[in-house]
Amino acid sequence: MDTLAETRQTAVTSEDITDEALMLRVQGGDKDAFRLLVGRHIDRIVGTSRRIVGAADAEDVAQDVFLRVWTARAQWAPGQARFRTWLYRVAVNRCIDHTRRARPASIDDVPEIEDDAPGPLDACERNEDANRLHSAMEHLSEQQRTAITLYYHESLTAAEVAEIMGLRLNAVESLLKRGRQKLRTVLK
Amino acid sequence: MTPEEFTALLDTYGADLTRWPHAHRRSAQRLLEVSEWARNAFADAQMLDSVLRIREPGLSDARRRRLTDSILDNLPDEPATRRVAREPEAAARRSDTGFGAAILRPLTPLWVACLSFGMIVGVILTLGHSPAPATEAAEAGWVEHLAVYGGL
Repeated sequence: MDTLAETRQTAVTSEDITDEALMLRVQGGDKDAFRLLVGRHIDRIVGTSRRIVGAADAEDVAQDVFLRVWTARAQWAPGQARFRTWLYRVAVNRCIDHTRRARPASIDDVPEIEDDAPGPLDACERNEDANRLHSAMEHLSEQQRTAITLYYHESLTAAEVAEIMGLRLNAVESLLKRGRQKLRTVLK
Repeated sequence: MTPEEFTALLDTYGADLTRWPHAHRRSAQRLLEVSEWARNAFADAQMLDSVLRIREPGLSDARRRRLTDSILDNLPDEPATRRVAREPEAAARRSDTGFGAAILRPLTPLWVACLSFGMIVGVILTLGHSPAPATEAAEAGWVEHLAVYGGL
């Protein structure tokens, strides 16, 4: 307990501190530690949300994810799940909630993806590829889209995807297989 | 390894053999060495992998800062779960006011037993239906399941 208390009391000064150590401070109500965690993961969560719910709502969903992380911070148990896995679980559930509430989006509603790359031609090509992929992903079921995003975009293992989605490994393997087969047809 | 097995594994795990189950890597490698068909299928899978791994540009610094500030500005002071748990006075008030509370109080153990039984039956039924969705309808059921039991 002493170690835990010391961890919580030490000021947040370094980027080297682990997510789990930051989360312990967050559980003690430390908003500076939370700011650091948000800064570390916001790009990743916006990217994941963009692929699951679409670009138009990705930032709103990401905000919702981190607000949920804050309010549910007491539920995270160190040693039981890595913070990153837990964060993805929150993100996937928020994405599902969002798609259940949202109206079907028109392709005209989807903004172009903002790009800070220096070369305009390169940026244009990357946007084109990304937009093509987004359109193809819309042909997948929400569950297939989630599994494909976590496995390929976030480079998680099938076992980690299963843990995040609350499914058995063979169910995730089936989702990856059928999702990929559909994408292969659509992207031809 | 048959071509069908190779295709199935390629569709499941993609074209990065290091992500395949250990047991299949060596036989896949052997097939790739001897079969032109397998090499072509593998090359196609690599192209699809590269599309799936497109790194989209991240947020600009300004946008990331705005988003982070917005999240921090909207944080509630206390987690909802704790707030509810730490209202003994309100809880006491509620328990003393409801119509019929005095009549129902002796039946509390019965209510708890019924509720527990219902939850156990619910969990058993849920576990019996949750694995490997084989159809689109089953996937829709999974979404429903998560919404109800996801908890986060």
